[in-house]
Amino acid sequence: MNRKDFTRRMRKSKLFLIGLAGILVIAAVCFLSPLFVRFDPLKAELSNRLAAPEGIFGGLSRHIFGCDPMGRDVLTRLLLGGRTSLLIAFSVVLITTILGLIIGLLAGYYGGIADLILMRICDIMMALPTLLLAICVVAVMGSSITNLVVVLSITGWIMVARVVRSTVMSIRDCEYVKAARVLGIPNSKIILKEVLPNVISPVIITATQAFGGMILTEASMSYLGLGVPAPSPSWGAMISDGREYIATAPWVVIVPGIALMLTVLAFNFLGDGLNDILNPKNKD
Amino acid sequence: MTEIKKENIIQSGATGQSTQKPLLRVEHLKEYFKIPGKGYLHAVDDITMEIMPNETLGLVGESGCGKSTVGNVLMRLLKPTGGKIFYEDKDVTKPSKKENLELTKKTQMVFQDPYSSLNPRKPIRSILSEPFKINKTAEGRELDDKVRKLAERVGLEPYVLDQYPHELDGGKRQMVGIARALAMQPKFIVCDEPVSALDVSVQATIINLLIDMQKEMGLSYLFISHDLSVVRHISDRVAVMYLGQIVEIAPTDTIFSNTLHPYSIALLSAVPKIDFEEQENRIVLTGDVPSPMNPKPGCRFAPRCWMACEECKNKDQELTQVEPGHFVACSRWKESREMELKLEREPANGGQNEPIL
Amino acid sequence: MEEILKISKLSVEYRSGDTVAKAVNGLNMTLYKGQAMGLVGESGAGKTTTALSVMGLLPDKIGYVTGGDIEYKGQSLLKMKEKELNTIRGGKISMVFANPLSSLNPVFTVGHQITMVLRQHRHMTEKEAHAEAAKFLKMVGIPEYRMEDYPHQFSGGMRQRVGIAAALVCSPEILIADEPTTALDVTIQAQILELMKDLQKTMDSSLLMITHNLGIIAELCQTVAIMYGGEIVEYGSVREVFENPMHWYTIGLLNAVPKLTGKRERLASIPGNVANAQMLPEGCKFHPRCGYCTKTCRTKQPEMICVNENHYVQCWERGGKAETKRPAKGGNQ
Repeated sequence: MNRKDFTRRMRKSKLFLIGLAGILVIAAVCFLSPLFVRFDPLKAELSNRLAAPEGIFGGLSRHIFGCDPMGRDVLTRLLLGGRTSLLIAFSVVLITTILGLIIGLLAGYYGGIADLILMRICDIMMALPTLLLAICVVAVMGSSITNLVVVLSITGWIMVARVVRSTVMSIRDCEYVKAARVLGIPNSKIILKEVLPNVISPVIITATQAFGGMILTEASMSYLGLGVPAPSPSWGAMISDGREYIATAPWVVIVPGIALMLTVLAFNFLGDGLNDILNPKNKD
Repeated sequence: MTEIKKENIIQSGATGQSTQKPLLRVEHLKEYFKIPGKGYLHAVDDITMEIMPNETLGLVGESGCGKSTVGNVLMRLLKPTGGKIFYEDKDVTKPSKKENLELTKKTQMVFQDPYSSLNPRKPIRSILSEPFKINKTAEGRELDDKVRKLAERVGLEPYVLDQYPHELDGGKRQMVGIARALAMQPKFIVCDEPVSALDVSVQATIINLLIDMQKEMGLSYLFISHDLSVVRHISDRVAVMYLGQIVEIAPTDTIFSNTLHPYSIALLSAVPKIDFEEQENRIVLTGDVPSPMNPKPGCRFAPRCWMACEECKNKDQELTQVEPGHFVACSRWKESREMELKLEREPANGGQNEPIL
Repeated sequence: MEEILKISKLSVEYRSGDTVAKAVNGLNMTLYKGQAMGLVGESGAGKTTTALSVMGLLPDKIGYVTGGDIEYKGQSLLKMKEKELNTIRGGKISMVFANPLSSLNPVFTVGHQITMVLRQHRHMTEKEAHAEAAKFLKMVGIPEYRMEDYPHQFSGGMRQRVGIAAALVCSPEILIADEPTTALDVTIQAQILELMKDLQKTMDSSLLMITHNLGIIAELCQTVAIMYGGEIVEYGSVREVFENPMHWYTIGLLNAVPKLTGKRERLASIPGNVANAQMLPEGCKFHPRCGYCTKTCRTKQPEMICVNENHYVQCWERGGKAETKRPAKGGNQ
């Protein structure tokens, strides 16, 4: 597909446009938040403990979404927490995609024993519970953002590798790959120039769809205290902090919960939209 | 096709006794695939043949007979299990890196499916530049020039170069495929079913192009196809394959007028004919082509052959010369000829058109 | 002869988004009882679309019949309710598809699939249906013990024979075969063709054979219709059309096919490409590829002219001078 086709299809896909707009807004607000937030996200102020939201008209100097059990502004923590969540998800997706791409390309293209070994490793990794692995890592190395990224990456590449491998295997049998071999083009170049461009679209689709999943996994890790170490804000941790007060101060849970849902939804929309646009089977 | 060439062809047999040196020679070529838990699939089982300079050898057979495998082995896409391949009298069965590079320039391939033989992500210009880039023979403006001339040569308009494969129809794509194969000025091209995916009216264009290019560049073709009339049209000699073996090989006119192997007779008789005068009693083979897994000794065609005797079933058949340049792997070829003659003489509803096992 | 299927001025479109493909454009065709008719054309000529329209199997929300009618024994199939149509489809008119693997359901045994048809259309009991199915499978050369096997256990040729048995089991009056042998090897194709020839004779049903292979038509059919750009451009008895072709497309097609006998001459190719249903030309659909194209051809749609009672052609150039035969001009050199 050339650029013109891509732009035209992109404009036609509502899912893609909604998803993209949502993500851009969320990312912009989160990353630009240090410029306009008025409260310290970390400093506890017990006088404001569980203060109720003061409404949109309260202005930025008031607690629009109320305060949490430690008296910290929910909005401030939400925005800064979102920044952390997005950053973690982004790094994990980046690492897993590159890793999965390389492994999938090699396994799919060369096949044989290399494929067998890599795929068995995949099976073992899939059988490993992510949570258990996380607990072990945290127990040994302590909880930190880096460790969280490591844990999520270790288990995350498998999905990508499998998608890439199966795509590569079908491309490998295409006659244009044969033609390249007949022309004497070395394998490394065939992988980079003939195969890679044809697996990029499924990889982009998988990565986008994985993005939402990663944000959710990160939140559940943080909820369990295995993720972003306190007192740094994170959506999972915020929900965890508020769970005891859900009856009396629901905003502490609901606000990060909705933010989480909207973000994941936006990424899923984007993923499905991209699938519509990039998948050659969806001819228009 | 000139008269001089015809003579060369008649002299050159399957095992080589010609005055001219063959361009490519294959001796006892074998290609087995291991199927886990089942044994070996004998895709190509002991094939010996030659291709002369400027000659087209047609390779016909039904699906699964190993004809494409032969092409793939000759193009070094598969490593042969056994046997030897000679290119211009040099053993190239296990080519060194340097030899491989040299062979890449000399031998090329045209593929069956013009929809999957071109990378959908690359414009035609980039596809046609590849051969020059890989051999570092041209760059910059010179490369542009060469690519344009190449396209022109096969009859592609220059604007096609900036299009993507999906914007072209089957015929144009196949022209691109042929241009790519011709870029390095090869001497030998394997054409693996190059027209079977095309519409009839487009097919003729591609066949004519292949013939023109052969005349212009002195090419040799191994033309693999299941379509007997296409093979007859383009080939100087024809080899018929059945279950990994060549059962008959002869100059085109000979094999079509004096068909001797029972399988070749059945194959020819099975083709639906347009000319009403040509419609004759048909020999309908019962059953399907058997599996090439772990074949038993004896003639491979015996289980479906109407002339098979006990001996056929137990003894391997050797390709033997029955007239100059005409080789048949059937010990009862004399009887088959008599039968064929009888068939031609009998009226339309004579007993012979009963399905015979 | 009794008219059994009559298609008049049929037009079919495929719509998807903003694109419209005019697959069939005002097609007229009559099939008589006991007749075998060939429908020839290259890809995109509208052959399969015609067949699917007769069967009422055009893809939902994509394919639309925009005009004309299809009559089975005087009843309009297009106006019929789904329930009525179901008694005719599969019972009176049945179809053999190009791909024998995808036309059989992989999760049922072959025997079950055929008995199902019998129970639906002929209201037989399980036992009767089984016996009848066995009879038909035997007729196409498949022994009874294989009825309990699944489609994947059969070879391509055998699957197609099962497909034919399933299509014939209700003794249909019309059998539509859409490229039934393209996926098969020549020797297997020969088996299938012999089988269809015999069956058509013994059962006296009408056959509509759709193919791009002119040889198959010559061997199997009495009449032939040549399709191009969603229209029939030439129609007549097979012998008449093949031996004395009138339309330049038919002539081109016959010259483009390599022959098994005779002198090996350079093939005459038809320049250009098969008409694109999304951008059909004005006037005669074939004019951009025709060596004898005139001004009239470019602007006005030609009408079907009667050459003799066995031969009809739709070509301006052929108007008053149908008897003159010229060698095909054109080709791209």
